Amino acid sequence: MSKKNDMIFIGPQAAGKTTLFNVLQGDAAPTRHEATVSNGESTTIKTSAKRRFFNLLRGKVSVVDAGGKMSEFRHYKEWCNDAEKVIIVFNGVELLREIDDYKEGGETSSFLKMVLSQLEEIDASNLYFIATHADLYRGGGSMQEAIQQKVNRVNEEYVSLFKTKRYPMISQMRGCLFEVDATDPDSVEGVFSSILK
Amino acid sequence: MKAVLSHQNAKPNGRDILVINGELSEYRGTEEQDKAQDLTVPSQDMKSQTFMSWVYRLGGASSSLRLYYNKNKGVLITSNLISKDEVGRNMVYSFFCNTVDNPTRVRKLLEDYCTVASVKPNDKDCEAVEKLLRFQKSKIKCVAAAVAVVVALILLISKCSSN
Repeated sequence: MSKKNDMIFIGPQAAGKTTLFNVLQGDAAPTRHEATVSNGESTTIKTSAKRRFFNLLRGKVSVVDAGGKMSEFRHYKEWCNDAEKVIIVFNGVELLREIDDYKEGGETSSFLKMVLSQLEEIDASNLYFIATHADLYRGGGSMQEAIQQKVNRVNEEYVSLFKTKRYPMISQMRGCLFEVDATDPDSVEGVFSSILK
Repeated sequence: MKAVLSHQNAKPNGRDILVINGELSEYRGTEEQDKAQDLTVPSQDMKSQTFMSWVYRLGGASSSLRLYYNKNKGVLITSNLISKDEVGRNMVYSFFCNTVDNPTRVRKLLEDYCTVASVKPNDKDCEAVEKLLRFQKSKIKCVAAAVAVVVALILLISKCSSN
């Protein structure tokens, strides 16, 4: 049976869900600098950008941009069951910071663990993890190497943290990890070309 | 009377802030808090006043303002605060109140609960909420008046054309 929506973005606060959503709509940068609240209703992409990829999505992809408030976390399972693809967005840099600080109860790692514990119950055919790192790019061109190192570390930590015996369901459920600069249309296009093909 | 304000924490890794019947607390996942939180998420049985919200946005209300209404259940308002979180975004809030008969009281409660939580709502949003609720109350009268005007116009036009 086909699902109500094509995609749902879930994740903790300030992870970059709405930024990704706005870029998919054809906006190069967030149109509003506001936190969001959701009732699980989807929006069909109405891109106005001239980029071919984003225009290909016009009117074809329905996306739920779920809010990151805790009151909304408890509805994620219900909303995820209505979506073909579940996109779990988290701040990759924040995850590294939590790991470096040995902060067990950090929001990002707690959130991922909470989602992982529910994975078996979420009836999603496809599950994707997106580690955002937009805030690193604020440093400009000289930061590129440092960014690449961070991105590599996100990958390593993700594999060691989650793709282990502790969470075997991730590999069973084909959970993929992507890194994205949510404010960069090229980066977003690259990731979503893979996700949507 | 039951009223709940829930807004995101200024820290991305902080817990939601709740004001339940005037009492300020941080979300800890207690049964009472979970029940209160459930009221602050739009449910299927509450109708969204999308069109009218859009009208009030022209008057300066926030573009994220949503008002959900069920005369037997209450009113739910979601929007962004003037107050910002640590990453500089206007924080999101949801306010539920089971009183729908008195729009001025609902607005006053929203403002008072924000004061308890030490956050500032958008004044234009508060104004729009009061007006939206007044409109909701008078909706039936408005519809009846509109129907009467249309009927009168049809009668007038048919009378003119027969002459």
